[in-house]
Amino acid sequence: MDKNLIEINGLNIYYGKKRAIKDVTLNFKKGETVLIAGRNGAGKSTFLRALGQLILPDNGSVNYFDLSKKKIGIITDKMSMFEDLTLEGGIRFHSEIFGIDEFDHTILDHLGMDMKRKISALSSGERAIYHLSLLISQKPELLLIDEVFYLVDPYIRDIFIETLIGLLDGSNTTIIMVNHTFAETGKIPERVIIMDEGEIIIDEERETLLSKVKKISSDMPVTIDLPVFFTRNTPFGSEYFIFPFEKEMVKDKNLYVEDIGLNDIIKAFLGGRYVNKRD
Amino acid sequence: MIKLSVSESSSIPLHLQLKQSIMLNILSGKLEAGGKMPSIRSLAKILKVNPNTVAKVYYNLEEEGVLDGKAGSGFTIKMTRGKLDGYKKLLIEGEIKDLLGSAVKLGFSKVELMELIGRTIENG
Amino acid sequence: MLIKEIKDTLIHTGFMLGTFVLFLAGLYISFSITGDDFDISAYFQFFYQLFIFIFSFFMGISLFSSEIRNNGFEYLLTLPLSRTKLLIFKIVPRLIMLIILYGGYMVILALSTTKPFLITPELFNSLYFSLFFISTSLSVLRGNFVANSLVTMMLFLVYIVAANLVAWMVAVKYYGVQVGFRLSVFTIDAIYPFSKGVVPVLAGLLSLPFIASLFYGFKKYDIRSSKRYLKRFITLFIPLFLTGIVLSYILLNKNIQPNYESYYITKEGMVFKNSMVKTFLLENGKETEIEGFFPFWFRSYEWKDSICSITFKKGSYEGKVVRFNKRDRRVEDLYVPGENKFLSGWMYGYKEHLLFTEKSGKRHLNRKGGGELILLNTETAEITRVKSLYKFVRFCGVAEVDNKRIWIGSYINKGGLSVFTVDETGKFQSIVRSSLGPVYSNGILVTYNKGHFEFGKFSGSGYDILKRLKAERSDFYNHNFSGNDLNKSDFKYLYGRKYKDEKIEKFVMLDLNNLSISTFDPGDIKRGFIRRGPYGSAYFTKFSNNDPVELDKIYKFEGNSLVLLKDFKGVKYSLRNDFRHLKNGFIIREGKKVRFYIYPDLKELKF
Repeated sequence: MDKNLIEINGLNIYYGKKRAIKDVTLNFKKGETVLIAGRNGAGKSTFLRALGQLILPDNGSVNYFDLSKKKIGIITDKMSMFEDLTLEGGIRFHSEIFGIDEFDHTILDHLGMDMKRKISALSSGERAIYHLSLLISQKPELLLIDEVFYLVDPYIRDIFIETLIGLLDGSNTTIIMVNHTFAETGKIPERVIIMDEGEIIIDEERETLLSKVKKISSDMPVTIDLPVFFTRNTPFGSEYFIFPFEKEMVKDKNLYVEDIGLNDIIKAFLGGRYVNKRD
Repeated sequence: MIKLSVSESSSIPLHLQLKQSIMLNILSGKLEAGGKMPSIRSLAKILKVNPNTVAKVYYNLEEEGVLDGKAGSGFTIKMTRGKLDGYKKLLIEGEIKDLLGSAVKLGFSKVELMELIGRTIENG
Repeated sequence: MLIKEIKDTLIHTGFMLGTFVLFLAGLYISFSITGDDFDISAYFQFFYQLFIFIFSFFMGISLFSSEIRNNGFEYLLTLPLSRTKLLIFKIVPRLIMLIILYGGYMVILALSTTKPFLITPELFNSLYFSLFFISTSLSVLRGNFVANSLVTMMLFLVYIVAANLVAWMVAVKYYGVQVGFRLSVFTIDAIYPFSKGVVPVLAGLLSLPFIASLFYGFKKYDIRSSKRYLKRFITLFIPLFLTGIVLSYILLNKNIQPNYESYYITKEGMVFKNSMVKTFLLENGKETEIEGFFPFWFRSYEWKDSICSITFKKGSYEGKVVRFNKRDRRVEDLYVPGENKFLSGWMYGYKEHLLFTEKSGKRHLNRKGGGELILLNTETAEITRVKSLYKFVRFCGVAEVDNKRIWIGSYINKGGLSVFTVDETGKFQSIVRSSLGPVYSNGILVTYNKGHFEFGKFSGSGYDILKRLKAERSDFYNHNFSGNDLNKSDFKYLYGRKYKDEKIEKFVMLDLNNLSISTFDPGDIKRGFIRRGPYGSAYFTKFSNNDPVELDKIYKFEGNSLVLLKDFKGVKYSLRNDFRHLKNGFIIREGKKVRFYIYPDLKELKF
């Protein structure tokens, strides 16, 4: 249950001269659900593609344990498929090559999609759902989903999330999703990774983040030494975002410490990086 | 009507939110002792949370004696009187803490707050 | 996945073939409209070769075109196939299609010719497959199609130049630096002196690096730019290609077996070896180069202690008559034609006279036979221009009547031969018609007309037919082995064969003493051929009609019986070169080793 599914060691990936992934080392366990967030261009999609072997390491390694390629499902923002096939044909091809016995038509039936249409005729949202259905039917052990949820309408998104939950419960699938916020992926991810400029700046459990990231509001400048990673100035004073927070830091100090939700946490981290960049 | 919900924008961990929500429902009688809890998977789907979260809560509640888990037949509610009262207290304490926090923010003194509380109770 | 690739291949092929057929049809229609002659076979052959060329290029470069077009390239890389397997699934159906299209073409050619058509490895032009491999290695580059095509063509050129360079280097090593470097795309082995295996060796060793590097580079292919692939490709390619060049050079050197080597053996057993550009005298294990002298069967003539020969300047039509002195080895010019005059390839000799033909102007070369007949007296150096006769003439003997020499010749005319005589004064006389080549021997001229042999004699009053004998023409060979030496005219017997069920039923003998025909039993000789030479006629038996032919025994005719001259115990030779009849003997070539046998009793010459 606690075995590693993927071990990444010193991963470096270059686009030409630019280093898109810098010395990344981390592991993923079986059954983990991970959200990877970050600014645009942080390297999230690159990282996801690397996990899916669409990009091969220039330096370092990505090692898989007990994982065959048939059990990896990946959808990238390109949503690449053989677009000249019909929906039916695409299902047939995918099933045959990934060794799927029976394709579960439930989701597609929900949408009432015409199997004889060509994939190229689908809208982006339809294509996302179609592609995701294909991946689900693989009963994957590793599911990699790049930012496509925003394309799908909320109703379908819910259906899809439910399907993912089914996968998590039944097959102990490792799901890694790339998204800016939790908005689309909801409450599923348990682990949050924030990337910036090719590096991992945050890699924590959801609960940990909730307990270790706090916001301190004050109309006076804060004089004590706190690990502030982002400051936001409002007309009513400043908001200081702290990480990692310990109770001792504000003991006996007259500071108003607030808990914040995960979406705001992520926003703060992203904001912090933007500010750092600017300076 | 059972009302179980969790919010992702809250700063309270999901499993705690769910635990509280379940407890509230039990305490308010919406979930009766002996009644069956939804399966981990179906509850997870309804709430759109990770099944691990539901599992964590169920097992936690089982440890604390609130739920009874049997392999193959799911979780049933098993609640003793003593525990019930204990939880009631815990819940109210939580509410009181929140109230105090808001009061401090608004600049109430201890005396002003007590006065207000008394007046509110009187008015019903 | 394989099924998808097969489908794609079939669709692509269908389109291209369809275009080709439409194109040919269009040509045919436009030719019909204008009323011009449409040689469908010639046009088909030409354009089909072009089509295969384009096809092999296109099949290679469009390996990933459908995925690039339908946005499925990334998807392709996520499929549970290793990069290597993916390539194999893509390449194999296309390669097989290429084999079918090209192989099918070869089969059509074979079926449409009447003579036996051997499909040899050399004939199978591996050029197309090399082009296919080259363009596949560039198919993974996702630049634009035009750029990729240009690079493919450049690489192809590099490949062709490399192949020709290797072939040239080996030729130079063998022949010396006079061999010019020529760039040939289709027929490397035709211009350079190799025997088997040139093209497959070169094609294999030089185009396999492309394929190997493709697989090696593709292993690390991902959706980023193709630079990584290119780097890996080049890293493996350059050493492999260079190794290929070195290996092919070594291999070709080992297998060099020049097609254009010829030998000349004199009566006394002097052996000359001619390559394309040089002539060597072989003696005592040594090779001495003789410059400016090229002895060759039907344009060389031995008289007393000299060998006269028409020698051409390398690769040109410019020839002259030279004389080689066997004693002092000196070479001197006997006759040099004037400006814009060219000697043809045949030269006859009778005692101290040489007879050859000279043409004016290049345009007659290879088109019309004959020319101006010239008599050259090698003792007095006197030149007599005897007659202008633009026909394919052959001479068979010289009759001496009243101390005058009458040259007897024939030329093809209206489906048969016209036999004539010409003398030093230039007097030309038509004698008879013959449907077999005339033979002059024992003072008798033997011709064949309307089912009869005719025997005649020359005298002061002209030509008289002495006797006619009824006989079947097809039994007789009159392959004049001594060729151009008209001194050999003392044969008493001529021989032929009667065939039944592809086996010899009887030998036929023409007796020139009493002008009669008789037959005799062949014994257990079943197949072979008759050669008539200065030693008399000989019969060569062989085992099979296939390639390689096995040479069995050589018999000599003596009257109406055969005497075994030599038993070769099944020496094998292919239809190409390994057994060559020469004027005074023959050579047998086994690999690089050459053996010389000289008549009359076929002893082996040892150096």
